[in-house]
Amino acid sequence: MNPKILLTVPLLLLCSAASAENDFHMNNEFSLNYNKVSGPGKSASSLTENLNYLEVLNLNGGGRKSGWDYNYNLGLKATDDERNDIKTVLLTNLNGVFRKNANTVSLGDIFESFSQYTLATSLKGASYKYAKNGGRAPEITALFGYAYPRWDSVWKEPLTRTVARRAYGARAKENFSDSLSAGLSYINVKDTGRVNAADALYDSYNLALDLNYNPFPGLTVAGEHSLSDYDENAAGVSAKGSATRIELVGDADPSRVSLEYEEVQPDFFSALGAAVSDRRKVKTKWRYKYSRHTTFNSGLLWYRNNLPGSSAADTTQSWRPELGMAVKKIFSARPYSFADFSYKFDRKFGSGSSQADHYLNVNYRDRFAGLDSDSNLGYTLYKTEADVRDASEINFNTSLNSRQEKGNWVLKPQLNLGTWYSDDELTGYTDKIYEYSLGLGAELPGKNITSDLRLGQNVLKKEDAASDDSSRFFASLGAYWRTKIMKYDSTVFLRAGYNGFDFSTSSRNFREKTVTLGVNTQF
Amino acid sequence: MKNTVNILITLALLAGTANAKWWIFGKSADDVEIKYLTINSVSADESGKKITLFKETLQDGTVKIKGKAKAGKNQIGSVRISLDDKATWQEVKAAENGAFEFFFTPEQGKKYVFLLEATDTTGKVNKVDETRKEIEVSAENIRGKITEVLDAMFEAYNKEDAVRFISYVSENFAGDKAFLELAAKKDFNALNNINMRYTISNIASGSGKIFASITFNRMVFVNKTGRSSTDGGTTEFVFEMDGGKPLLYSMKQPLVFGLSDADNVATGEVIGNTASNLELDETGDLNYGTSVTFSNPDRSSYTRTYIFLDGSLESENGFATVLIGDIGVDIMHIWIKSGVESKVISGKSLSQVTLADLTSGTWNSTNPAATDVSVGKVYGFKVGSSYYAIEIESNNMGDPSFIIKIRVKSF
Repeated sequence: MNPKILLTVPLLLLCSAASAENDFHMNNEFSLNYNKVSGPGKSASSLTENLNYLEVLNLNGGGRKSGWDYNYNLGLKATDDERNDIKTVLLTNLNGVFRKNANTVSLGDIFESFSQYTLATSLKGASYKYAKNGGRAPEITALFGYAYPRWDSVWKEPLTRTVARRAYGARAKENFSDSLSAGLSYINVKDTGRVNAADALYDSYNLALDLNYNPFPGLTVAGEHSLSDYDENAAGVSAKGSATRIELVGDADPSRVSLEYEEVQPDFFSALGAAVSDRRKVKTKWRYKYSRHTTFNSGLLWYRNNLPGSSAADTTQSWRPELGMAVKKIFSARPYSFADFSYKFDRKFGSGSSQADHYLNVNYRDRFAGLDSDSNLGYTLYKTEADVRDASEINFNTSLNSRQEKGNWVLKPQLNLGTWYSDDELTGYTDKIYEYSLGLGAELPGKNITSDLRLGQNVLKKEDAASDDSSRFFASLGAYWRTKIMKYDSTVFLRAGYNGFDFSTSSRNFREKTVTLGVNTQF
Repeated sequence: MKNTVNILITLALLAGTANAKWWIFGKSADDVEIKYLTINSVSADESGKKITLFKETLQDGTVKIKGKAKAGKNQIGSVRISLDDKATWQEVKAAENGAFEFFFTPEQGKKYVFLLEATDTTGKVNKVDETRKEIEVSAENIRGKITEVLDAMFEAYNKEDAVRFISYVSENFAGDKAFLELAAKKDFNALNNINMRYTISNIASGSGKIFASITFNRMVFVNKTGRSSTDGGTTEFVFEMDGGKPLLYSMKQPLVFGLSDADNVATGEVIGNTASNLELDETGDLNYGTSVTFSNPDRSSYTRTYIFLDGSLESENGFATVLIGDIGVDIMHIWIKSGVESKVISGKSLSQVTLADLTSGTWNSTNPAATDVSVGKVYGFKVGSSYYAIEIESNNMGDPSFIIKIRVKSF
């Protein structure tokens, strides 16, 4: 199928649907942004200098025509800032869905999620689904399309041209009983049109069986087994592989227990699904509500790579036990007090390396005389042999928030303080970060105005004289006014910001000033 | 593998035996109870009191309620559902074991107050008010909701708030939520002044999941080295709906979150990816190259040259002539060996350089390759069929004794 048909057919159907309009919504946001970057180190800035614009339009609607219910979406974006998009004007969305009884036809941007290992990404194409509620008839889905990430890739725009990944497939799902359902999915993928000489082109298929079983209330067993077969012609590789995952979840107060097992062989390949190859993983979790106020969490994750048949590289194994506790009203006299504690251990070894990291975290929230406080203390110990990382880090953050009503105004002052301390035993250096910020939110509910002013500083102090100290002073303002423009709900917004970066090496210093003025309209 | 599967199957069978409540502690088994209740596949226990659904993500436009009631030794006699806060009730057919299924087609924008009443054959009724849920089908386009969640995730990441960030990640996250959580914590310990922005390029939804393609820009500071890195690109996310809230289900390379454990967090790579895949290594530094120091305490007697292939520094007699290494560096020049080609890469830092920058455009083989060795300058080199890029990290401009640091990245 010519990929351009992917664009033409949904457009024609969309126009036809729109002519029998029942329901129509629009969301449009236009903003002008001015950035000024100065200083000798300005090339490090991620802002585009001078004035640029961003226009985002989304139209959606729905209705009923000739017995068919339909919904559609059309999205456009325009910008002259290459950092927002390399294209000045682009089609972001084009999608139509038509339903009649048990039949559903989708065109344009379609996302039929078959199963994790087969299809978990969107296509530009068409799909058909038959699904009848309440009966025992199987649910059938069939689709065809291209896995282009953008619409302009469809018509091979030089700037965004990609390999053409064509896909077709089908899925059948059957509810065998109230407690057992199973699905069979097949997806075939073929890549064509290499853009760069080194681009890998795949010709592959995935076949998967997934099931969901509730043997008795509160217990769910779910799983999937998938086979893959692929040829990749850049490296001349052909391989077959499989992937399996099984999950048991027991869920009934006061406990929730889960047990997962996953094995993805090194040669398993899923062009459109989601899989991390060469991995065997076992994971358990147990959440236990000890009382109305106290909950315990525990878990264990184990995984290894280099499964049999994999490369000659050493095997890496990892153990990650964790334990946590959360307590509401930790002090009976303090109704807003809340504390949680967590400990995670990350042990990884193999491939000539051995790592043991410890993460401890304590969080305490409370309210004192109208001030909400939230404090967090973390300790991390990194131990990676040999001579890679041997460091301990402590971080502490605290914030104080309040909400005050003064006449028509609602004021929300905020103070944040933070510090980070890292002691690296390998280098013998200690580095420190200090952060503070002050914020003031001001709202006029009667006038639909909200604003937020914030300023602060982050300072990184490096003990190593050969490394730069750095400091960033920042200030930002955001103001939003909800109003009506031509009877339509709108928000006019102004955002302004300043960042001043200073380093020990003054040639790296730079300043960023940015102002954005925009309006969002919707109906 | 077989042993593990056998153990899992045995566990499932053991769990499947009657009254096997091995995970339940202190639970009463009398009275009429709702053993489980799902609203569009989301457990009622896991969802809040208010459930917002989006029409685009509803399968066939319907809300599916599934559950099972139990009454100890007695049988369930009837199950009724109210969608208007007890004003009216609809009888629902329940199986002998108390299982029931109910569908309704909601109107957009209307609020439904759901309650479930199960009565056993002796007339005992469950705690009806405990089943109360407000269900609303939002008129809002799913795009708005995804923007809201992405805004919140980027803000949490920029503010290095691990707890808030991970609250937007699904328990079913394909790379594993535990990997992502620790990777984010490592990211936050390794980086500061994270500044990321994005705009959406494409959204698609269906079957309860939503796909989003974005264009992003970022600048980060690396605590270990005090250096900054700026880059950008296009990447993709998949979200799944959980109780009306989109949660992150999968991410692809180039990653924007979880740079410290890319192997376990990313499940695939964006087709046609031209961005550099920024990752944090196990030392807490960015992986975009190796730092190399050129020093020359006595400029007149020898100089240092660098071989890209094995990363070695060589001593060479003389100056301006590179015979052993591929390049030589002094305070004002980059010298190249005969056969090595070079080019200036303007407007980009090393972390932004991609293979496409090196495979396109023209090369030159004149010596010196460059006469500007100021901090931040980026150059590309072609040695045989291999491509390399360097960035000048520091230059003390000492003469005759200088110390120049460059960062080298191979492609």
